[in-house]
Amino acid sequence: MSTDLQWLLLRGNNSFIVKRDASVGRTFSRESGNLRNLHSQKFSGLACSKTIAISDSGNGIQIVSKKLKASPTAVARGSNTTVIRPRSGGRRALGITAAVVCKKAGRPDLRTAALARVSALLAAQKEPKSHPAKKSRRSTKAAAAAAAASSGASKSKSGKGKAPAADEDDVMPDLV
Amino acid sequence: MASRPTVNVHGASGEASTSLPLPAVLTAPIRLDVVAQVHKSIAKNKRQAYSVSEKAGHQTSAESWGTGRAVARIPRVGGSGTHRAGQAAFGNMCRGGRMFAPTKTWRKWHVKVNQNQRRFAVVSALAASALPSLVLARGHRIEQIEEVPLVIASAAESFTKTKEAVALLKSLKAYSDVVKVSNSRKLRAGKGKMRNRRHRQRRGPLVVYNEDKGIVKAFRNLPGVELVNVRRLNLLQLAPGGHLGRFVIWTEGAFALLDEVFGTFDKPSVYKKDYILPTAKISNPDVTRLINSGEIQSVVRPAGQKTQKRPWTQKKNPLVNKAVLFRLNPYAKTLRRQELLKQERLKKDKKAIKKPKQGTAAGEAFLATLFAP
Repeated sequence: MSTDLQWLLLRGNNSFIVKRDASVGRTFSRESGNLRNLHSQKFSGLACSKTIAISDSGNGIQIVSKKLKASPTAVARGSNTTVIRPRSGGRRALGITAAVVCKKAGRPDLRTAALARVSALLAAQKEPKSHPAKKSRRSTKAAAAAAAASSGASKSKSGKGKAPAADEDDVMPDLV
Repeated sequence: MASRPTVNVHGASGEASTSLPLPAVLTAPIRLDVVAQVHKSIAKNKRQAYSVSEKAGHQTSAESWGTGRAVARIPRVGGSGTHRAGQAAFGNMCRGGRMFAPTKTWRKWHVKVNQNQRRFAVVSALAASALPSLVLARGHRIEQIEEVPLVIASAAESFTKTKEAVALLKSLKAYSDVVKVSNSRKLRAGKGKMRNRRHRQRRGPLVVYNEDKGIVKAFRNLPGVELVNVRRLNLLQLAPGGHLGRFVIWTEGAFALLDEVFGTFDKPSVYKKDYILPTAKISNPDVTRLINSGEIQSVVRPAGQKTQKRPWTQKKNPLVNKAVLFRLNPYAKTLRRQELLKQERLKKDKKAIKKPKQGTAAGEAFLATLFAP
């Protein structure tokens, strides 16, 4: 069955489609072979004869690509898996990805998308830099003094306002 | 697809042993619209009649008071001594009145669908169930299985224990779909809970067998798994909700029988009288392949620039913009020049030629002669 026809069958609705927020103006798709997670024929992980799925397996980034000469009926058998070792750096990871995408998987049009995904995965794996906690510009003494002053002012104000009411009648509730 | 592909038969431990040719029905045209429409109609055929009571809202002797009582002319309950007296009755806007257009048991509950349409829909749904992408798109967890369509050896038909069935599904790596169903089980919203529809859950694999030697009992307790004889394939099971791509597990016998049950593109079916599979409108629906074919590429013009250069950046109004005007109408330049020269000449002549003397107003003596004495 041609992939064009498959796309027509999948386009309207499928279990991966995400069209939740109309204000975004885009429809997303969350199948595994979709490099940009966009609901489009080019990026679809279902309605394409050649697809590439890039994900983070436990040990390194995993690139699963459909075999070029796989039977159209094959599912698990019809894919190759490449794992990029976690200790290889960004340049090596991107180089491997580009080679797999363009040569092994035969999708040079997805090169940029694949590299972007790998870069994002690499960036996510990095440990965030630890910065020393920022010191407050005010000295603690001055801050404490300011806090005390403001609380004292508010207390005196409230006391002044309530004083006449208390003189006249304590028991009667405030009717206004 | 030059040659018809073959499909492997998987043994009890999941390994492929023999192979079968792909039945013709699995290459039939897939029509989403036909399947959806036929499903919508035949899904109605299981409905039971319901209606409100014939007497509901009419069990009172209310009559209109007519005009002149400063109340609406709706029928009112007669008598006194109770709150009900004088209240409006019968109308759909009244408390205790009948509903608008009370439902009747003789509503048209069933919808007839032409036999050929029903068969077309079943054939389409079957063809869709043989495409991995459509089965994935329906939400079945088939990423780990070997291939679609999935065919198992006939020995599975004589399974009698669910334990065996689970072991088989696990070896085929199809058990994750059953697990998905099991995890999806939720309490139904609404009154259906008390009407024997307490839970709702996804659909799992559909097991199609040729002869039941215990396979039904072995599989039927697995959540979401349904079983059907290959001679009685049903659209409601092949495309639940009208959505194509049910995950179907075939036994070897059932798969081999498909060509007999549905016939092929040139051989009529054995089980359905004079039935031949529908053929696709175009033999090759691969548009990309068609465009890139030698026949078409040999006659098309060579591809131009990818981005066409715009001939102008902004449209200019020739009535305002002189350059554009002159490009459109070269004579306009001459016309304008002539006009300018003429103006200049006139200006010069105006200075040169003295104005002819204007006649003065009539004299007072003359005007005086005009009046009557």
